[in-house]
Amino acid sequence: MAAPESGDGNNGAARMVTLISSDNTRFEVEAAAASLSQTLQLTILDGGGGGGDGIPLPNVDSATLSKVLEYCIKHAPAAANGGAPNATAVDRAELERFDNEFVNIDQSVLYSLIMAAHNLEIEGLQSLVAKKVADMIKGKSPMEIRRTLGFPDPTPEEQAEMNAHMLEYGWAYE
Amino acid sequence: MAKIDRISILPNGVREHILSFLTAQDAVRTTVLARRWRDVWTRSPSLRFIGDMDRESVGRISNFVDHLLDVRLRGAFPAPWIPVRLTSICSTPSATIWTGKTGTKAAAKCCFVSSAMSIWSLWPTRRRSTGGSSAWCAHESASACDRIDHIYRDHSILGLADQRLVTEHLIQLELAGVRMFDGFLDLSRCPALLELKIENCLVTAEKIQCPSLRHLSIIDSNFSSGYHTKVSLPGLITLRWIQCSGMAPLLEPMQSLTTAIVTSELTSWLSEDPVDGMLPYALLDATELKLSVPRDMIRYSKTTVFIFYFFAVHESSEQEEQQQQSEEVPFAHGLDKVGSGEEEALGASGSGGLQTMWQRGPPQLPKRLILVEKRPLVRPTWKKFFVQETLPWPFGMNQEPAYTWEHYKHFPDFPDREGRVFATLVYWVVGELWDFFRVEPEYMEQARNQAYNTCPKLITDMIYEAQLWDKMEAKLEPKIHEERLRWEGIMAQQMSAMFTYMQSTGAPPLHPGLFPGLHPFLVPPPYVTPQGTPNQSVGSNNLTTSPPNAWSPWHTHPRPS
Repeated sequence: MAAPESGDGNNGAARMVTLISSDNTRFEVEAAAASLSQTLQLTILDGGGGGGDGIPLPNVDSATLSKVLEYCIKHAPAAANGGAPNATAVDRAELERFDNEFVNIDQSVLYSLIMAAHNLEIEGLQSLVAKKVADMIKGKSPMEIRRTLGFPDPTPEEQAEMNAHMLEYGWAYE
Repeated sequence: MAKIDRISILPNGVREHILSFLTAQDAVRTTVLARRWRDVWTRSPSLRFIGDMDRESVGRISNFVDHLLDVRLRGAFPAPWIPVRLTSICSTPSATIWTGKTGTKAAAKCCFVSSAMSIWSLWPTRRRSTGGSSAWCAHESASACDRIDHIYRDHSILGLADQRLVTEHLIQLELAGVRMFDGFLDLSRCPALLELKIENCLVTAEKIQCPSLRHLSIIDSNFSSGYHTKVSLPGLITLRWIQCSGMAPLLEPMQSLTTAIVTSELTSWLSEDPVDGMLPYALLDATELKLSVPRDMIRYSKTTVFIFYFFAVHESSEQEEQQQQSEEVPFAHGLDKVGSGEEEALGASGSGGLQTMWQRGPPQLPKRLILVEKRPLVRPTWKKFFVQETLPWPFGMNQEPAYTWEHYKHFPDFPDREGRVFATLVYWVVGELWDFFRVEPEYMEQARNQAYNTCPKLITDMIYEAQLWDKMEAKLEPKIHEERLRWEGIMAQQMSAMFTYMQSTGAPPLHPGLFPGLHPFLVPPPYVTPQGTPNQSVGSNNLTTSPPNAWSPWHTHPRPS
């Protein structure tokens, strides 16, 4: 998805890169933050995204991208120094608090985030949102999960199939 | 138009990833959700079995796992799971658990976290995970400490049967509150496994083995008290061995070990038992070595003369007492302050140590007591024994540390504190032991066999001990170590010169002044000979004096001309 870029070789400490969302909004962020994305990392290492030409991200809209970048900027310092070793307990607690609030969002936004994290391959964000969804599933009955996750109401055939399955997997509900 | 079910159309791997954060039970339950969810859980990179530690819960898990096995046996799913038998020693006789395997490579790749992330946790937590996410679903790396709170010791404990774990993709294995029987920890069939955490477990395995393992953390676990668990982890980088009971492990060499943290009970790692009490040499290459062992323990082990483990100890007579007082000859003379300082420093907290009785002997011979400080000393205190490139070999052999019996055979002896010169170091060792070993006449034959059969084996151990203490001292008492190294440097130089001299003249130096660095060694303090007559000038004029008693080994073995 990342278009090939002409390398400008500028590897300054606070190098900025420009990301362009699907609706043509430009976001300028530090290269370190954007590098949390495995997808972008290589492009950035090649010197792309600097100067006037940005990296187009056709799969991510601006609302989601701003959310993703919020996460990246917050987590970039921790990721830069290798995460745990230098981070104090306070830092970690702060990050955790941020993460908790970060995923406290509407479900549609959450799915956009999942898709974006998946496309951009941001490991931490992927886990974060996956955990959030897992929390939504945890300890619920199938119907509750369906409702929570916004499944359409089951058709009669589906309902029958579910019932049959419930019988088969009754042991998982003990 | 019905609501759009957005989660079901997520790309491959996303749902699997989500399920990996659930308990196995919750993950399996998603199979009922819809047709598209039927087999998602089977591809999940991680399957967590979580339950309480009580009887009922163990039974529930066992039951659950049995059913999983059924499903698998019926062929309902392709083979992403590999069964591992799980026996519960409290309620149900047995069950089978499956380890998470990320299935096909494609699935592993789709799981997109890392190339093949896979965690299999067996965390019996006290609280059911439904209550809050804190127990295990918290941040993976940060919550290691939190988790311990949720695990508690109980008599009911899950058992993992003697069945090897075979999985290609497992990277991290966490076990808590389970009992592992022999064979389970033979993880050589898990080529991807990097991290193993064991907490609150009962380990009755004879061997922990995994070529690929990088990080091992064993906390608060119980090892067998009947034998040493062998640990064969050549690729290990960090080792944490915290508060484990039972016998210490036998660690095989770990070339890349950088961090070793050992917090242990007295009896396990540095105990009075010389075999049991050795700090494994494998640890000493760690760049960061943290030991938390009481000081008096260290002192005690310091005075352990490993070599005498196999030999009888006798009540010291008056003469022996006198004789043994000169055991610390190098330190006692010339650098006496260093010698005594070392003893004090190491024995600072072990004030009672001086009265410690030494009770060791070979199994065939009666065990008797001797004061610790009256033991004889045959231990390599010199660099030449274990540090390369200190001394050139005298007889044209390659330069090499003398660490085997064969080396000792070729190494010429030099005048010892009694002025005796043995043919080679071999004779010196045997002779020294012999003196110590002078027991009642009825044990003579046994004693002789002991001395000649066991010594060769002991040399290696002795070198080990010397290396051990060299490094221990460097870490614990750097100043003393420095001083000793300096002193040994001088000694080594002088030794080298003396060998040259002996080679050219074919005789030991007759005048100790010739090699001033060896002076304290060549001229021991006055002591009483076994015959009871004071011997004033052994070092100077009596170097090749005849042995005082008839059964001394150097007497019965011809010296090379």
